[in-house]
Amino acid sequence: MKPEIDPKLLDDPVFKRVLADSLAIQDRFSAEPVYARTGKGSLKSEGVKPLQEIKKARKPKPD
Amino acid sequence: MPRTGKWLAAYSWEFVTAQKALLCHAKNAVHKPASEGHDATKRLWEEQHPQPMRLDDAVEFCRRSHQMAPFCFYNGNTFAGIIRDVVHNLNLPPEKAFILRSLAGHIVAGVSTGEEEKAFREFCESLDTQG
Repeated sequence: MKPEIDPKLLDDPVFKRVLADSLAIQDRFSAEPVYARTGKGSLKSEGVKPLQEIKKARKPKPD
Repeated sequence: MPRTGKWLAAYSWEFVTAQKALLCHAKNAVHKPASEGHDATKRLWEEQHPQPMRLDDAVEFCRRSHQMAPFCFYNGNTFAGIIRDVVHNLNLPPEKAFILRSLAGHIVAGVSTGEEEKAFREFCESLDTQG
């Protein structure tokens, strides 16, 4: 069942942007509260691909 | 750009909780407050999030909130997502924004190295001197 959220929040562009980013990184995080239990967090690497894509987009295209 | 600002003012506890609920929904995880960490984190967040603070203190506050584990599941990306948005709002060039979002996210996730923390602190120190 989808949680009930204030419609004003759902329409808020900041809320939408944060949610999209948090969903995009969700699989890199452990669902469990590992950090609280162990004092060491858990995060899978995203690799270099996103940075390579930013660099590629910045490079001027050859004529 | 000043180092101190109301960096977390836009993210109320209701905002945090709603984000968290939708993140759990996406993974069919139960959305419920944790018996130990919830009330203390909520109280601290409501006191602190509207206040002016240094950017590095905002990152540290999100890291601490993550570690306090107010919810049973998905505390990490809830608070990392918020601090990444704070960095997004700095309107930096894309490469720099990417690196700083990663650094801030690593700190909040509790996986940062000393070098990463130093790099982020140095960036924060540079804010007061930028035009």
